[in-house]
Amino acid sequence: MEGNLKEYEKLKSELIKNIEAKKGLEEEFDRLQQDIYDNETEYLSGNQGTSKNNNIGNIIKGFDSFNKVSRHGSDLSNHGFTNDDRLFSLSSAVFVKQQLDDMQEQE
Amino acid sequence: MPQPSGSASSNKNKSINGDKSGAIEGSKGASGSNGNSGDIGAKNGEPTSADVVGGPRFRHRKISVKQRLRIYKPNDLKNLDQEELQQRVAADIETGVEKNEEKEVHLHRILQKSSGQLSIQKKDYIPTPDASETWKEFGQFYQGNFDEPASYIKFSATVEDCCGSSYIMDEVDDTFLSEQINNKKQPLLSEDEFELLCSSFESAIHERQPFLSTDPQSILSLDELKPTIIKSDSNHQSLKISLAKDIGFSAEKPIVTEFDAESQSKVRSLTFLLEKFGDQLYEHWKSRKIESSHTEIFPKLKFERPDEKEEVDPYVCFRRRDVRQPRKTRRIDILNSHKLRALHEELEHAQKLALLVAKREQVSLNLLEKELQVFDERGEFKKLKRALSIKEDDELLINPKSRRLNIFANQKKQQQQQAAADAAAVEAAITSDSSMKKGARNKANKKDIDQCSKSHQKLNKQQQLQSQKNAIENSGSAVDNKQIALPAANSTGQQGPQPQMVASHVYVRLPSSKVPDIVLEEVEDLLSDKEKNARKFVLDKMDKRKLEDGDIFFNITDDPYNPVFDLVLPNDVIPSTAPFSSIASSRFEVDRSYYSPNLSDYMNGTTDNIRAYTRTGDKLPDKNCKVKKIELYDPFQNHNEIHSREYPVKFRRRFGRHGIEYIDRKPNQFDANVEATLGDFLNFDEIERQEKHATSAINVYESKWDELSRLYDKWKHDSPRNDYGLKVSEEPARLNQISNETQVIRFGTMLGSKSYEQLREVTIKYRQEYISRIKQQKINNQKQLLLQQQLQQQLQQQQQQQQQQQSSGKNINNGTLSRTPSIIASPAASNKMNDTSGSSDNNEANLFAANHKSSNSSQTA
Repeated sequence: MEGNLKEYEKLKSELIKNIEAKKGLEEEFDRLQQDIYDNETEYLSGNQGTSKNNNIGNIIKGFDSFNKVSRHGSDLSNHGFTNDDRLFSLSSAVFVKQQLDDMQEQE
Repeated sequence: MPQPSGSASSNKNKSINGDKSGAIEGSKGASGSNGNSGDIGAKNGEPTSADVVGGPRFRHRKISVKQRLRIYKPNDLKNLDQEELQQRVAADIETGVEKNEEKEVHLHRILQKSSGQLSIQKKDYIPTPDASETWKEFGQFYQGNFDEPASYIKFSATVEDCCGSSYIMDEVDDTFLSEQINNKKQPLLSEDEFELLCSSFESAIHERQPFLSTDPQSILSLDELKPTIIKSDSNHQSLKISLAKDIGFSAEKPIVTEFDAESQSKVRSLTFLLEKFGDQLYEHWKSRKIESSHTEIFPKLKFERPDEKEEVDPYVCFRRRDVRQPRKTRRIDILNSHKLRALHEELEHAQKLALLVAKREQVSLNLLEKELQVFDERGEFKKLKRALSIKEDDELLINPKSRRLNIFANQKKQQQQQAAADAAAVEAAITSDSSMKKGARNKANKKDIDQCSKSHQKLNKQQQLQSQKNAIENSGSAVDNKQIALPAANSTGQQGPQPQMVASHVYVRLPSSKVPDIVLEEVEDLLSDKEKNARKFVLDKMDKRKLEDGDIFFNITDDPYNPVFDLVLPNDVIPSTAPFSSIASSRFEVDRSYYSPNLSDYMNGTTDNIRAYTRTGDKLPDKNCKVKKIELYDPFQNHNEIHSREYPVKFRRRFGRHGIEYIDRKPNQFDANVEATLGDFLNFDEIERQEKHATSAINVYESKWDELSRLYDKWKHDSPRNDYGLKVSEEPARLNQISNETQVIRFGTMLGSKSYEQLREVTIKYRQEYISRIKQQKINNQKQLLLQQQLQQQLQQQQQQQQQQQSSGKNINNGTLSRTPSIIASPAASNKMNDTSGSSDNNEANLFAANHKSSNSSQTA
């Protein structure tokens, strides 16, 4: 009985510790996901960095226009992006699930 | 054997190029067609080659990407001009191959034979490897099952990336490995590790001694080569370690990427292998390297060297295409470097993202593991808990039900909050509306109201929806308008069933499609935004300047209160107009500027460092000043005493009727000149003398004082200055925000143009009048002429009649006699009138005279 109680306490503290750790990981995961989403937005919208010549493309759309001589305002299609382009965020199953849940909630 | 990309058949002619149908573009197509036509050339050209040598009509031309080349199929060939074809076959190629290819041993022998004896009995061939046999054991080695996917296979790694080490063991290596190294019971070195080591030797030597084949004996020792080997890191060990560190991957297991060959996963680290087996293996590999021909253990493809062009060597594969070098300008250089930099940035960003994703996956993995662990522990925990029948700590068993926040949700949350606020506004408007409805309800009878309220509720709902849809943004004004429409409908339209109709009578209801979606911004907001932006701009600029100054300079203009300037106006600028003069504002002269170090002390009044001056500019003794605080003039404070320069406006408080309080203000400054000018008109001395030394009562009309007061009354409201002490005449300039001089000039020119217009109009009018008068005169003159002629005729007739009368009988009474002289005199009178007045009068008089005469004559008759 005594030993059991001791074991119980030990297990309890272990459990508490693990739950804490899990919580921390969850937070980190959310933070990373948010981070990725934000970075991705920045990347896809093409206003990152100091480079003025943004229409060289990105790794989602490819760099086909890299060699082309760009004229001002001629290539507007480069700046728009859809949510389908969010390769980095969409590579997380959790993210996709969250979106689906959200959509259902709205309906 | 014709060389695929040789120049033998590169002399495409223009007629072929001109025919664009079925033409293809690109080097592939070009080489393909080359091969074809080359073959044809060899067949057709050989027998007649001697004839053709004479006149080469076609230039040898390089194939370029830009030219279209046609592929001929065998059945197209008979349609081609035979002669042309023959000519096209390279004129200077007698044997069908290029000169240096004729040196090939077998071909050389054949050519020699054919030139020696014309009749060839036995046909000779260039030997080719026998490719007819199949490999019987193929099925044993290649038996993977491959399911072809419906989509394209996307894979960006090269074959070399995936197959691990480039070195491939052969039988010699195998025997060496099994006999020399793995001679003990358990194998020490796996085949994969052997290959890894050898390939890293290869690459290191290739880097250090690219021209080893010239002197194979000079090969470096392992110790010399080691740093290169470790640096080159052929298995990407160190890269993987650093990556693992970045991601947070546990260091015990090596990272295996998708590109890593399966075999590579079990390989130990290169440095370890190098330490243990390096020496032994290196000797083996070195001896093989030196022995082998061209110091290559395995035959390798021969590539074109970047510098030297080996056009003649037929064994070079993947030749570079000759591209005309574009003209290099500085601009293009800069542009390209910009582009490269942008690309680099782009890729770095992508890499960062990829790294983040990897991290996320790692965390996700850890999370799952943790979750499993927690789950297991909970199982154990529950068992124990039941056994011990402990009631507490239930919360440890349940996952807290906090839904993890979504990324989009974060954005949506804000939007929803906004929407909720708007909805609340709508709600409020509706409730106020309903309260108004209640008031109306009391008046009308119950039935109607019930109907009405029902329909209103419907209407409200509709409107709520509508307004939420359209006017969620500009709910402020638009919704208000709509809500106003409701009570109106309520009070006027008690008929119930169609309140919407009634509403539409009273107020124009826009269909939802016509309600503009534009957010109506208030002027205040816009202005405050503008203000904010301006402030921000200034602050940003100051920040930037501060950064630029660094620690080297201290910019005293950073502080909006400091420094204090002594501003001085140029002599010819008048202070009152200076602020409105664009010219003058740029001409302020800064005599000196100084920075007061303890400005905050001044503001708080705790400083000792104050210098005070009297009006005349003399400095007061230091201890004498009582006031240390910076003075701010409060005009509404009683017994206000100000020590610094006085406020430009004076205020006076007075009470009017009904106890209304007025505050008057007037300028607190006068020109000293005013009195001097007054002195020209008024004799102040005389006034003083009269008032003070009055011996007797002064006559009112002689009193100078009265005169002054009358004058003052007369000019009381004729001040050249307004309340602010500015000259009234300069107010237009002030309103227009230009200098008075400019205003004067503008006004003057305006007057000038105005008066010119008027003058022009008047002139035109005058001229028109003049012209019409002249015309009238001419007409009148003509009329007069006619009349005079008539008159003369009449006169003549009259005279004749008179003569007849006089001659016929003198029985005329007195009355008629007395009249006749006046008639006769009439022409003379009319002549007189002609001199004085206009001709028309004259005419009338004549006419009158004529009429009179005729009537006279008729009377007389």
